[in-house]
Amino acid sequence: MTIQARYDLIIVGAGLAGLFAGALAARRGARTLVIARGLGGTHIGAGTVDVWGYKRRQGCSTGGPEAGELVENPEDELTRLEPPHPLALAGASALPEALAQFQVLCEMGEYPLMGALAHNHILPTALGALRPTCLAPESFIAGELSRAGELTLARWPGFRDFYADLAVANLQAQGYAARAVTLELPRLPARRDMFASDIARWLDDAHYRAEVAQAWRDKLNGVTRLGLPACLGLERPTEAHHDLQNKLGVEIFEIPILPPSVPGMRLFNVLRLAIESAGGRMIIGPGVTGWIEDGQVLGIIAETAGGARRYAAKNVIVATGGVRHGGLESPAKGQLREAVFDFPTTAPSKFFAPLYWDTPPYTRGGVRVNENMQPLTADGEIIYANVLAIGGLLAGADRVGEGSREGIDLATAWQAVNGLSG
Amino acid sequence: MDKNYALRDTELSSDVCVKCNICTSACPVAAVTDLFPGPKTVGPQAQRFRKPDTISVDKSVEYCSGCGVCSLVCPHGVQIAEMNIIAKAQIAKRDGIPFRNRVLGRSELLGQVGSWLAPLSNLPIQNKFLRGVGEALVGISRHAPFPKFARQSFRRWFQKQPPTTGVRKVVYFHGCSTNYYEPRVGQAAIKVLQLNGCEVSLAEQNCCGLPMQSNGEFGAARAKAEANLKKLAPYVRDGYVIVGTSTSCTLTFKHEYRSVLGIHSAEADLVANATCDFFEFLEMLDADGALNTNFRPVPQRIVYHAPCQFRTHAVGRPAADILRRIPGVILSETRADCCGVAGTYGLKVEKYQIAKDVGEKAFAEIRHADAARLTCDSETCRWWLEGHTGVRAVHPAEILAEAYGLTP
Repeated sequence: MTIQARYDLIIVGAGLAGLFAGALAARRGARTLVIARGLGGTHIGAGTVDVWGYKRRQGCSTGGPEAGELVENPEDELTRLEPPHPLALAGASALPEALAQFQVLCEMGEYPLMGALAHNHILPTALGALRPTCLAPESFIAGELSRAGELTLARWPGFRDFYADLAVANLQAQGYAARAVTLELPRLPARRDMFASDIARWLDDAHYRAEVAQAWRDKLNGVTRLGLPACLGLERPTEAHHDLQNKLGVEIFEIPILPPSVPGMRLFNVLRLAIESAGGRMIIGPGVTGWIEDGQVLGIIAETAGGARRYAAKNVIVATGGVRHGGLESPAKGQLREAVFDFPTTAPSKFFAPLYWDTPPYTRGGVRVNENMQPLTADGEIIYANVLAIGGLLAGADRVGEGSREGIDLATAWQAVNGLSG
Repeated sequence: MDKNYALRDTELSSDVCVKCNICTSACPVAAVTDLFPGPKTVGPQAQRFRKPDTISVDKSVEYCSGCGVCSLVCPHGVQIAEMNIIAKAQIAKRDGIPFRNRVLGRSELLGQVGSWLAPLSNLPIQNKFLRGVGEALVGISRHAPFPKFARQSFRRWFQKQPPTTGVRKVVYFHGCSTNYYEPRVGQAAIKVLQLNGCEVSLAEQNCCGLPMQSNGEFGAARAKAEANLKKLAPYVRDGYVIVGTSTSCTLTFKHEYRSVLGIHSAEADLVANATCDFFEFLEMLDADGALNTNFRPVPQRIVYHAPCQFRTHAVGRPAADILRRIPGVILSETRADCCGVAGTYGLKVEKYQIAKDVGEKAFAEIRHADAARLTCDSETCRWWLEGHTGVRAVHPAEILAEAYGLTP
């Protein structure tokens, strides 16, 4: 097997952590390859940056919306964190710097993310629950629930992936003024079920938006802020959002719905553009394992259509995600196996919690790293000096229960790439 | 060897689908038409209602162009595109294969007859009236751009070349397009390989079979495949690397023979693992420090389109990476996943408009690039993109040959 190509840095995984690391490294001039077996978490996430959303209630074993209270100021909560939580390992400055840089990249992609570490937005979910998040697209902001004013959510007959009445009922039950309005979406019903990505592509087109505005204008009397499923444009979302608001004369906010996640796809597009326009490469498709010779990591081995190919790299960052994303596999009960380098993992003796809504203990399992994001043995020894691990692969966090997923992804990616440049 | 093993394996991959719809969001066809329900719906979802020997429950799978983007973006390894090609073939088996599809599947026969009759055979392709008749009678879109037949085949040219020696042994697979339409691509490729220290042989070969496979003729495609495997495997055993300039042919050796046609033999593995697309091979030479980089300037703005079939090789964009190193070349790249034509899909009258709509993104990027030339590893994409944008399209090997100062 000969070498296919040589890179300074290879990142395995194309979720938020891998893409952000790829964009940072490529923009700093490193010859960078992002390689992944398929697309990652962006396409199934909400497209926001959650940093710390839920406070653990006294005596409760888990966090999460069921057990905890919403966090208004994530900054406060983060100061109490200790290793091995990845945010504590990455250090106090990593998260704010990473968020700022991420906002710069999104701004460059003409897709601004709004917010600050000292304040969570509280936004409605598709079920009418309350979701705390730190950074959200501009097109989400008018849904802020700490703001007074009734919310009007759109029913789109013929669209299966959002039920305005359900969300409205749940919001009302929590004391929020909300109602639903039926707004026919031109071209629906179509000859098949349409997904969020389909509607978003339609709404990229100014002619279609004009048709929409024409059809809806008379139905929005008394509406101050209108909530739509998050489909407001894919390629030019900011333009679509501003244009439709202007045409209808109401504030519009998007609510993230079922996958495919349009807001997540927009983040993917922003980061892909940042990587490629800085000269980085992306290969989506092949499975990847580590290329190790005599105890040294020389790069990765990709399972391409024509068999295994070796890609040489000075440094490798593993950003393959946790159990739900294929970065960690569970070959047998009570075991967690890291898929690329077979790094040692911390696996809890019990994987599951007795109650469905409790955080299953396995989510805290994963790869242990030091403050440079270098994976460690059980004895705390660095395994390979030139291999780092970031994102959902890391041990010590309950990403869902804490509402810390994207914060961990961005902060650990930032910390890893900074360490390489230094 | 159980002949159906791979088919079942491909089909069983539906079991790991979690219905995340990432494939749906990436599908270039579903993005432009509601006639196609998307890869998840006709693939892993419909698969639950199929058994290995029963047909598809839903004919809408016929709108799948086979570009393969879905299989690449799937994070779980579901072989969605492959599953859909098999489902299409099962429908064709039941309903019969239209004459038009049998014609389009026979690119080799067309090439043989066409180049024998050239330039006479080029008249009907350029004649609007005859194209209209062809559309009405056969169902091949009169608007679809077609290439011209070459008067002298590539093989005939090669036979006149003096033999050369080199340190790396390469057996070149030209495919039908280079042999009958664009011998200049093969000529450039041979000279570039020789300049880079390769001893190039030309094996006996036949059509890779992909056009037949795409049009539902699995039996005929398998016969082509078995014949190629028999001809090429001995070279691999002698240490040759198989290098091709037609990216869909090389992909067929690597992938389709095993994953779609279900050929699981020692020869199939041998040939698959020894096959390289042209720039994939050059990139390997480069990683070995063996690529000649004494380039002359080619002062030109060029736009590169990575064809969907090249993406399925999953080796990045080596053509763009190498061309960018030629002094004077200002290279831009398209981001569109597919140009729309997907082999013979866009040539069919009922698919032409869909294929054109898919291509709009690539067309716009190419026009916007304001380039002197367009370059792309796949011939059907080149013909389609040149026809729709008016920008002259060449294989990247031709640009490299120019940079080496090689003349046809």
